[in-house]
Amino acid sequence: MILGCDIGTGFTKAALLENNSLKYYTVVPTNANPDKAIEKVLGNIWESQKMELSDIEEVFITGWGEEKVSMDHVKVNLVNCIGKAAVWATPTCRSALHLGAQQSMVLSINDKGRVIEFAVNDKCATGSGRFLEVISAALEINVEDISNIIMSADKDLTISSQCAVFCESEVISRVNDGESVANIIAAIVHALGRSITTLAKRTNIKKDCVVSGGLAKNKAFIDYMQDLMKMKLKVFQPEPDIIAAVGAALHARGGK
Amino acid sequence: MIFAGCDVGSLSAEAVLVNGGGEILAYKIIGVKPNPVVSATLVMDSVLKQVSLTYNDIDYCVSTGYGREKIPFAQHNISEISCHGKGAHWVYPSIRTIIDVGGQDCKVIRVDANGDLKDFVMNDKCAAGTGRFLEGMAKTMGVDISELGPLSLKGRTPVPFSSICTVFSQLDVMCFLSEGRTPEDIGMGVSKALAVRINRLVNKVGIEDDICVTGGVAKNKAVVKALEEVTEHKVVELNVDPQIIGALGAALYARERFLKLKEKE
Repeated sequence: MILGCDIGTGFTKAALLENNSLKYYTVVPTNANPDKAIEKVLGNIWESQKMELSDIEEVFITGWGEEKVSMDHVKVNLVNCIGKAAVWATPTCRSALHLGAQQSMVLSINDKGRVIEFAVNDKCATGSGRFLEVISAALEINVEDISNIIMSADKDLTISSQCAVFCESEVISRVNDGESVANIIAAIVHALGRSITTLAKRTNIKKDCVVSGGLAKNKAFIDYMQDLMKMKLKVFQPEPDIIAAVGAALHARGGK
Repeated sequence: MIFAGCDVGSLSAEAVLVNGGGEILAYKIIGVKPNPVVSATLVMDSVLKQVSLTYNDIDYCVSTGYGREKIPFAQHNISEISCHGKGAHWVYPSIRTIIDVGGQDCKVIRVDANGDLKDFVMNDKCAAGTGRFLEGMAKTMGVDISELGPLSLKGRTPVPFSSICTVFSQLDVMCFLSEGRTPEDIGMGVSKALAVRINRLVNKVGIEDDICVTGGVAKNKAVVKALEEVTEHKVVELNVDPQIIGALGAALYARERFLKLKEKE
């Protein structure tokens, strides 16, 4: 039994693998305390699997909080984790888009399943999942409801601000001017799609492309990305958020 | 003779009245209303009231800032870049570089010995490097924007920020707070982060002594100190409120234009 964890700034994702197949996964808030988050993960594993730390052969950790974990573990690289798990899910995969809350990443993978090139945006919120969270909060809607709300959009709007902070103000003044929330959020999803496509163009994106991270759960966004990239995207299953945790566990000997 | 300048910005509006000699008679700063004309009228009403004057007493008025074309009581409008150059140079004639950090943008303005515009560069695309960055950080820290400067000056070890992005930096601040870093050290890190970002803009047009900082952010002494450190240049302290420099420049332009028109007649 191998445990892989991806400790992000927002959430800690954990995956339990047995002979390279996923046995169990859990997602818990990090709350800026990686040790506590790992404790919670182990608690969840005990509750659902009746397994203790001693039943786990090896622990692999990646992500922002890795250095802050006091428990014995092997440190693994986030990019390699995503690459490994993308190939594990879709053996024919040649590229991957990982769209986290604070980071968007694009990977290009060769026919041996190795990551050969990657590009990251972790400098600007406009090209990240956080952008949708900020704007949704300003519009007083839930991020999960965006796909439904967007269906009633009936007009193409242009949002002129490029900065998430300035967009927030622009969006509020659009609402005050009487613009519909559906049209506004559609314009925001499109802006986000365009900025991620720009990032994606920095590597050689080929079929099949696996998409993961919180944004992969947003159907309206993925539909738009498929149109923009003129390519079918394969959403990482069973849970797009846990890709790096699965990939971390795949680092165990015998894992590919 | 009375000349007026009115500067309506993204977050605040300022009005300045000067006499025939260019001396400041009165000034007023208010927070903006959604409509620039309303903001301009409110701030001008208020400054006139201070010195018991009416609109009829104004010989000439120049408007500047975002809403400058819409101000009904102004005879002319001039860009805020020229006005900042004019105002700062009038207050302190040896000024050659003006770093104007407003609520939603940042400009670095170079002027010549006459106070005329030589070159400038502006960032209005990204909140990092503007007053909005400070506002965001102060809000996350739960301190009032006016307390941030004095607090930050007491910091010892500035916290390091992972990116320049305002949104991401707010998350960093939350992490620092939960790690138990002091608000003083976080404030010091915030000031440094803002200064580093502004300095990138400064490097695009170059810097020449003397230097001053204007706009609302100039009131934060910790940011000014951090700017002196990153630019390796001393910043001159102006003896007027740094937030009214644009409006003052507009009033001085009003005076100049009026005198020129008189000459022609």
